[in-house]
Amino acid sequence: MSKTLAEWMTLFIAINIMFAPILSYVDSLNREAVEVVLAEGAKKASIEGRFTPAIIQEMKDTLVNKYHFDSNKITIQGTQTLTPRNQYIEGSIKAPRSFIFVLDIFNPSPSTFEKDIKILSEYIN
Amino acid sequence: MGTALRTILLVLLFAIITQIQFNLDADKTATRQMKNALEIATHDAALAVDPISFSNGKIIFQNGETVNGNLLPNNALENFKKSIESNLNVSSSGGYLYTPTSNSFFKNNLSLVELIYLDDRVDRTYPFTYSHPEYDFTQNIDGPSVIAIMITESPRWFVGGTTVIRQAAVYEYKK
Repeated sequence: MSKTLAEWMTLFIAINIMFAPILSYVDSLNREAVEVVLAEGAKKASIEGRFTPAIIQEMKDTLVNKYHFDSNKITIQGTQTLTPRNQYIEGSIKAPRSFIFVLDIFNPSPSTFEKDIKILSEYIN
Repeated sequence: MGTALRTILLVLLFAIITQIQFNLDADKTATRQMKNALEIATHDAALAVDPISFSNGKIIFQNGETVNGNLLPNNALENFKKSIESNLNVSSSGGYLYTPTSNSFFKNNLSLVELIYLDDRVDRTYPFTYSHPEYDFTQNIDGPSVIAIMITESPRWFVGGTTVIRQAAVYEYKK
């Protein structure tokens, strides 16, 4: 009995650890996609003076079409009011995390991650 | 006995590969974050342009030096510092040495080794090629530019040697 139990416990932990590196790599790539999209979006927003709906839609489309995020689970927020030159525009993306451990036996990690960014506006009247 | 040895060997191999992977991933993430933050920071720094010179058709960055008898404020460095501080979660007093805060991805100090202003205070003909003598950095310059070079040690998760990360960014006005 104790041997069977030990074998099962080993199996659970082994499976979890076996897939952890590749799954955490996927998580890292997801973060990369979000960071790059946010940085490029912020540069465009700086020229316009705000995160226009078109910029936000483009960021969302990139994440959904190129990186296969679920469009319902991404929230992109950004300064919507027209910001004059030399004042800050802020933006953030909240996206779902993929899992790192196949079997859910550890403390749950946060199910989303959020990246934010701040850039000066270039907008001139 | 043979099986046990093989298992131990396999587990060890797995551990080593995992360690390498996580370390390389930390290098990559740190490089990317520093590059993105530098691009935004040089952009912000380049917005600090002296309005008096600008009305004469010259772009001169406000870098704390005296130009034509006017002492310019050091807004470029101030903008740069604010941008890096908020986008990388670090703090700095002078603007050249940044210390990571507790929620930062970085673990070691980041130092801004170069912040170069190529602007119209000196007569220049664009485009020209700028190359830094020390940091293996070459760039075609099409207009007044801010160049920043930053260095840090990679925040690796596991033991496995240290890697120095160096990134440069340029923001230029096209002439």
